[in-house]
Amino acid sequence: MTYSLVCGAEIHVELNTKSKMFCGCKNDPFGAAKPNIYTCPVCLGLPGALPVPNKKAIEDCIKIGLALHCEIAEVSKFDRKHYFYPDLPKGYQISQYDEPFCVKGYVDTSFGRVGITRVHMEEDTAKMHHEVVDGVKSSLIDFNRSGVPLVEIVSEPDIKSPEQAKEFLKKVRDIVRAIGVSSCDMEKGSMRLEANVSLTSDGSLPAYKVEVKNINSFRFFANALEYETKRQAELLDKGETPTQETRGWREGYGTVSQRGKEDAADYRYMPEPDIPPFEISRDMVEHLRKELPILPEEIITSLVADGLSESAAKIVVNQTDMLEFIEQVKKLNSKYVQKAGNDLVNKKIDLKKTSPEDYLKTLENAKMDKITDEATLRPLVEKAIAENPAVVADYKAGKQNALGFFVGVVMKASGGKADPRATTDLLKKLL
Amino acid sequence: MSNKPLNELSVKEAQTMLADGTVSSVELTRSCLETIEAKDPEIHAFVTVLADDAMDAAKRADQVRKTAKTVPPLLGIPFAVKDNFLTKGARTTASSKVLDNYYPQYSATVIEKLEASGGVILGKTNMDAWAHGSSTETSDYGPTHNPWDTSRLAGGSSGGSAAALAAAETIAAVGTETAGSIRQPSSWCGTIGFKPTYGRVSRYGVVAMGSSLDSPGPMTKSVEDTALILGVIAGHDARDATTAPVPVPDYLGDLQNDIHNLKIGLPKEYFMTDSQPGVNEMVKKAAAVYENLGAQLVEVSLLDPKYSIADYTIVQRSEVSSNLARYTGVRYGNDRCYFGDEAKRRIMLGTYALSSGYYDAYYKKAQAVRMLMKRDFDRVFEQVDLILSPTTPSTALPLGATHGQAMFGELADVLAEASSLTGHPAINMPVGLLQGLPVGMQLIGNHFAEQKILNAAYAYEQATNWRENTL
Amino acid sequence: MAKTQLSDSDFKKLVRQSNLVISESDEKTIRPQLSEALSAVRVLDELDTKNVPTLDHPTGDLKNVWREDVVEPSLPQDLALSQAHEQHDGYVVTKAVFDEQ
Repeated sequence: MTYSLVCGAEIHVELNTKSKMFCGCKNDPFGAAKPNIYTCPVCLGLPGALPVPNKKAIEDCIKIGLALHCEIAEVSKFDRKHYFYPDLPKGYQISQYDEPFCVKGYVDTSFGRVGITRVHMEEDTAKMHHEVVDGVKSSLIDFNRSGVPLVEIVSEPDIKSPEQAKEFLKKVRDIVRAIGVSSCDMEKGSMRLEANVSLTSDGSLPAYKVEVKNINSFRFFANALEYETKRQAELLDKGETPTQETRGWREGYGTVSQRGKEDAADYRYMPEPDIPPFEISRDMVEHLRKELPILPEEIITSLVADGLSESAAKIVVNQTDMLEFIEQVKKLNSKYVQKAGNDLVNKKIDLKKTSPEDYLKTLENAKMDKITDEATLRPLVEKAIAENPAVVADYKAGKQNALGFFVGVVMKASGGKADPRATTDLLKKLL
Repeated sequence: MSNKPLNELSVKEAQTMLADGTVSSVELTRSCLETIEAKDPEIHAFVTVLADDAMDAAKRADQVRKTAKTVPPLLGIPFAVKDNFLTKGARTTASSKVLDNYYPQYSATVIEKLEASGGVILGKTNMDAWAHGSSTETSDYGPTHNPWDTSRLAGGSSGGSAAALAAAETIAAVGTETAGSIRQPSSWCGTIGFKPTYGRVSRYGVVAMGSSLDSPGPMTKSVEDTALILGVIAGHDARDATTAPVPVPDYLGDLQNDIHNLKIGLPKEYFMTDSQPGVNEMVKKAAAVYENLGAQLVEVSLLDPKYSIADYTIVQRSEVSSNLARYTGVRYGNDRCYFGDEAKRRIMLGTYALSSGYYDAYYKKAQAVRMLMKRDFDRVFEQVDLILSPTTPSTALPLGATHGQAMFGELADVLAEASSLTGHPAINMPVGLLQGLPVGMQLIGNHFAEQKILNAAYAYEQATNWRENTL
Repeated sequence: MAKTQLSDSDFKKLVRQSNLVISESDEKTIRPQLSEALSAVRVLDELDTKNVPTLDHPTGDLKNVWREDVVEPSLPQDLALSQAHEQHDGYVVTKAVFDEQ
């Protein structure tokens, strides 16, 4: 039996705002010198503490939604998502349930369009690690990360192959980075991935899905899809439906079932009473849209329109210095954009030494009319001859490349304008 | 007045005597602490008495008074604060063993405001654990006894604050109301209790019970005191996103007792047939005073209070189940085994009401009915300025009355729940004694109509001299 | 009105979801009280709420409450940890919790 992959991705992006999502603590979990130094009653979940949302975080979330072609909600709110875990200080996470800030977007890939179901705002949990303390297996908790703003991007189950998955994930990462709201660094944990995987034999949406967590690279995401495809196919071939569950990716092994819970998680979502609802005006949306930088795919399209090949455009778009160089060339003399692009990609331009102005001047000089008239050339040629008697002797002795030397000298003296042929003829005449 | 023992003074009286040098804050504070020492073993209004801290604060207040050009309004005035207000460094338990050993890392906004105004905190008062109740009998530290009859309950959940006032263990107090928790114990103890509009006073630093319901408020011996303290603690707080960006009026300065043409509605459904005999009559008699003062009494109709009980039970317990999720004994306090029965019951019912498959029938339904209640009040406030009714269906019940009663709290607060669900402000005014026990009437106003309520309460107070006859 | 009876599995699930420990003797009192309360609140079904929106916030038309992205002082580490049941090297300590089998 042949199966096709039905996969959706969930991407969590940690925003790079200065302060946390619901309090003024510094947002720097990765860079903190010690644990628990960026905490307060709110992000520690102390009795009586109350959340106040970070405006910039919400704006960043809307920007991500806009960049992913989403519709921005006119009304939105936060909800409490309840579950008990030591890294969740309040016993609930403030997230968004049925009225997220952004819905119904898409990202185009070379394999087809991947829909974006929603982009919403929530807060990060604390960080836990295990250690044996006084002989007891313990979990150690650091609340520096508790309350950091997280944007969750959920895709439709439109991903059909591991390759498409990688392309999709890279595109989303590049877009978010281009907006400048997150470093999207998987090693630092500012971007996290989860996969929802199932198989279908007839194209209909399967009745089950397996959630795969703990994936911290695009390659592992693709590997997890390959592993799950195989594992689920084997079960389906036997007539079994794969268990709807959460599995963890273990490098070098595959996916592993996580501690089974007897009940499916019931988060008991409830509108967050401590935060009044939001009305997002269309003015605000347009204002944020204008603040968006031009996004990678738009830049590539524009470069290709200017004459670069798509492969050259893809290289240039990811190098800020190359991009700036081309922008300048375009401003000064747009007919050289294609050549500049190719020269950059072929490493013919030393960006440290050559400014766009110099580069263009060189090209222009190469094209400008050369000096051919004897009257202008004669003084230069005579000077070259007079100043290099040894080379004159070489020439007289029969060394033809001595002529080349003199041509070079005259070229230099003329700022490159001397016509080589005319110079050679005059030299031969005078020598 | 100069013969009155210092601990029996109101805030206004104490302010006058402090200002003219007749008395010092140290003397005032000492008088309260001595009363606490004498009476509290029987009354049990306090969970934690902060005697040393209070005397230090009183000394500082007296020093400030000598040198300061302008004196903050509450300088040197002793306060009793309910034990769900976090007080930095001073034990805060919400009367639950879960927080038996909790020393907060910060203070509530209300506490900061009281202290910035010069208030002296005598101690933390007893309450129903987690504010779950209307008796203070569900405190993990034992019940608070009613000073009028110590075999009876003080009411709750701010029972400790109300009893401390009635027993003259303090000059003033603050409490919180989720539904009735300021009004009802004030009614049972014969004191004044004010529940402001939801969002008028910051909840930051108050142990959360019902996030969309909790309202901190003043509990006092006189209406002027209420106006003064409300003016100090009210106001927008950047740390509480539900506080109103509405400026705080000069409640005390604008206090006046001319209530000609005030229209007061008496909802027939709130004068219940199964209330304790005598309560309705006493409140109607009090209402007649308003007529004599030139106000107009109108009969109005409100949604049957029985729906309030059910609605409030669901909404409050759902929020409780959520707000108590943070207590796991890891970052502070003791673990969940320390929860009392009442807390466990409320958590479980709340969890059920929010759970998948039941959310629509319980929580969502209750929140929609809540909208019906708001519309109900909106309609009535188009006809009248204030609503008047008994605060609670009975006088103070005996100790043990709550045992075996799964919904005691919600039943006792039947007349307070609707206005709490909709965020409306209200006051309890003592109107007399029935068989030796205080009866209270409530005045409910429209959102942010605190001044109207205070003026009407002031008019009643001035006309009847209730304090001399009651406290 | 039909009484809402909590089945054994319903009750056990509720206890788990509430993260509580209920002894057998507690169960004997709490369980019937819960059933009674759940039945009593169904009186709300008498009211027609079709097309009535929920009142989630009694704050009227208060909306768009947020704060500027400004860093404010945090609690010093020792104060933040001062109430923890157990701490070690600046971390809050609790019994180990594992995800994977």
